[in-house]
Amino acid sequence: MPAVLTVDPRSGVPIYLQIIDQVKRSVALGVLQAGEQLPTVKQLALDLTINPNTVARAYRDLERDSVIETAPGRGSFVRADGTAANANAAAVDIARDALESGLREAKSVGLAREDVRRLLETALDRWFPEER
Amino acid sequence: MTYVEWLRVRAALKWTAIVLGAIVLLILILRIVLLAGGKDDALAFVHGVETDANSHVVRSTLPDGTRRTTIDNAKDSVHITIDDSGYQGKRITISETSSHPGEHAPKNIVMGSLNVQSAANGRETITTIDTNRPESFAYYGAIATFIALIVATILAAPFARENDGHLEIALTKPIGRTALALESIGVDLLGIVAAWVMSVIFLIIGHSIFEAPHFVFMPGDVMIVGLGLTGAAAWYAMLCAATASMRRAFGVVLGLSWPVSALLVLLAKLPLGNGQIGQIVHFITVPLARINPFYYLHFGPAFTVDGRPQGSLAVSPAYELPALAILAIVYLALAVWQWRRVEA
Amino acid sequence: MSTIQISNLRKNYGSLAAVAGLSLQIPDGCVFGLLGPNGSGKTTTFKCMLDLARRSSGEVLYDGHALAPETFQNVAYVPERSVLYEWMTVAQHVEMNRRAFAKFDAARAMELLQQFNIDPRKRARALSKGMRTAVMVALAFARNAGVLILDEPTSGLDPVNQRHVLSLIINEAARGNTVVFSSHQIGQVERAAERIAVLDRGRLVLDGAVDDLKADRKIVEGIFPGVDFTLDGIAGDPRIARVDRTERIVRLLVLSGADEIAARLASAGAGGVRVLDLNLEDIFLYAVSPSDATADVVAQGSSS
Repeated sequence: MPAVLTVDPRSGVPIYLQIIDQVKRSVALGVLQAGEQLPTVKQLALDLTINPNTVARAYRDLERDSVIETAPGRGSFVRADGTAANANAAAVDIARDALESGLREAKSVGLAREDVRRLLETALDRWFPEER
Repeated sequence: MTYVEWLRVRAALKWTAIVLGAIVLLILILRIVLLAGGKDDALAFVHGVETDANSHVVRSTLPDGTRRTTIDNAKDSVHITIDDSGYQGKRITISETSSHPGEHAPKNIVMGSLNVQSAANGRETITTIDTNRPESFAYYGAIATFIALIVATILAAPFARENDGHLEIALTKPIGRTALALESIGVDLLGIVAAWVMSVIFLIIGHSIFEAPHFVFMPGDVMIVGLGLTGAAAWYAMLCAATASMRRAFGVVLGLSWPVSALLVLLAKLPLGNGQIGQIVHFITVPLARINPFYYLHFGPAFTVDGRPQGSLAVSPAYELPALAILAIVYLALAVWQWRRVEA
Repeated sequence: MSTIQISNLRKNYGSLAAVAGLSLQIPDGCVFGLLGPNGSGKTTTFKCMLDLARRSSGEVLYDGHALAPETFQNVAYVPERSVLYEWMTVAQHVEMNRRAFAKFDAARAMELLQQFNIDPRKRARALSKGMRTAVMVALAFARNAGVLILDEPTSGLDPVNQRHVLSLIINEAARGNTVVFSSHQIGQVERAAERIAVLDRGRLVLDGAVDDLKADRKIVEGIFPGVDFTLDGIAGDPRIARVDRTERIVRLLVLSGADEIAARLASAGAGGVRVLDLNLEDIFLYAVSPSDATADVVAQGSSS
């Protein structure tokens, strides 16, 4: 797990958000399996040398988003029920964030809706050719 | 809480012991050199008579082991009896017949364990020299006080030493500032008393190398001991108060304390006559000297001649002891008051 | 463990106010980073918190109580410069702490010293600046104190030992203890601190949770077609802390609602509108030098 998670404290993105994103991505990619145990808050804090309350906040949010569950005294685990659905939801989240950001950029530099649609078509052809 | 102060006291006592030990070692070497030289009889006059061709010398051993030497010199009309008890000392009786009566005024000189008495009887003068008479404990007390004063000077800036970059440690302990100050002072005062006791022990050892220590503890000696210890405490207290708000300069104050105080007290006590300059000097120095413990610390009569003390600045100890006690308390209160106000 | 409440703290040195009316609340179990340029009053604040310096006014409460001698059983302090006794050995410093503090764990202190590669038999005067810092840190972290106040606890340490000190801080936080520390190395504060306060010339200029500050504070940048443009209705928004205009480019430091303000900037006619993240160093520099930091920030900011 520590090998999977890395954070960049010097980035402008809050550390707890970086953890949330990475756990979701790991679940989406299947790096984290259903039922797999996450490090304890203290362990992860020490491994990443970051504040434990920041880790705890990330875990709370992941629990709220039904990505993980915490059994008191035992630790935190990737949720067994509907991991596939979660994984899918996580994947959608990641992709949507990336697209949103790209589209915002496109709008800010003054592209029209038609220009953007053409760009999207081209990109789709390149990345998803077999599904044409 | 006062571990650091305790370490300081321990170091000061260790060095005191080393220096005193070195002195005792020197005494021991001196003693061995004198023994090797054979003639440790310091009285050249007696020796001269003994080796004079006209002298008749008889040696005998008394029942208690004392070796007696009698010397008769009819030519010079001198009769000498030397009772040598070795380690226990020596008693020399010299009787001379002078052609001029009253040449020798009667005298009684006491200097440590050495006692010289001379009495004239018509034309005959009898001089008795005791090398090891019982002596007053005050001699030890005086020298021990001197050493205790030195140790007091070494220890006397506990607050300045903390001010000098350690307040963050000293003042973040779970103890109030006043309590910490009083504990530190207590540890230092114990160290000063220990230095005094240690000095007495070393003095006795040093003395024993030459002769059997015979001392008597007279009622007045209690006063000498009290005066010495209170004086050392008052001296410590004054330097504490003088340095309590300092950071680095305390070393200079401690270093100058002896010459400045000695000069001050000397000027205050010297009779300077009625001249204008003398009066001005006294006007300045007397009040200042009176708040200096040195003013009240005299080491008792260095020796007596016919019972009259010589070389002494003695005043009645009955007034000096309370004066020193009051100085000690006032100065310590001043030091603690400053300590309560220091900031890191 | 305790909440520390600082109210209207003021400390004057002559006519200079080293701390000028500081109020701060440090929650129980929080790692709290105190930032500020040199001479901003961080060390004076610590000294006033510990009664090492007399407060000119204001008060400091630990769990609602003023500092008492007994409080020091639970409060450990590492000053910014070495205060070790030069002539004492490291082991004697350990012994001094063992005698003074009821909860001091001498075995733990020895273990920490070993981790820092310090020979306890050495006298303090034989140690380098960094090693002295390490000794003071080791002693403080062996205190089992509920509150640790650390003034530059990594100064003079090599990067490995700096990281070790951070781990110790994090370990204390995981045990629920409160750590207040200052550091010029903002990267360390960014890692270890949950909340920060920024002091400048004795005043509090910023106070908040690190992640919240990063999530909320953004630079919104836009480029107008000509130099002749107005920001009516935007510049007056209380969420905009400052406006920098150079020719056609406008940069806004926003305290929250960056996306909404970006949209309004775009509808006011600006093109190329971007929202830039700020890391803690940017946030710090903006807080203490409101007029000079912009160029640097934009140069290193990334678009999001």
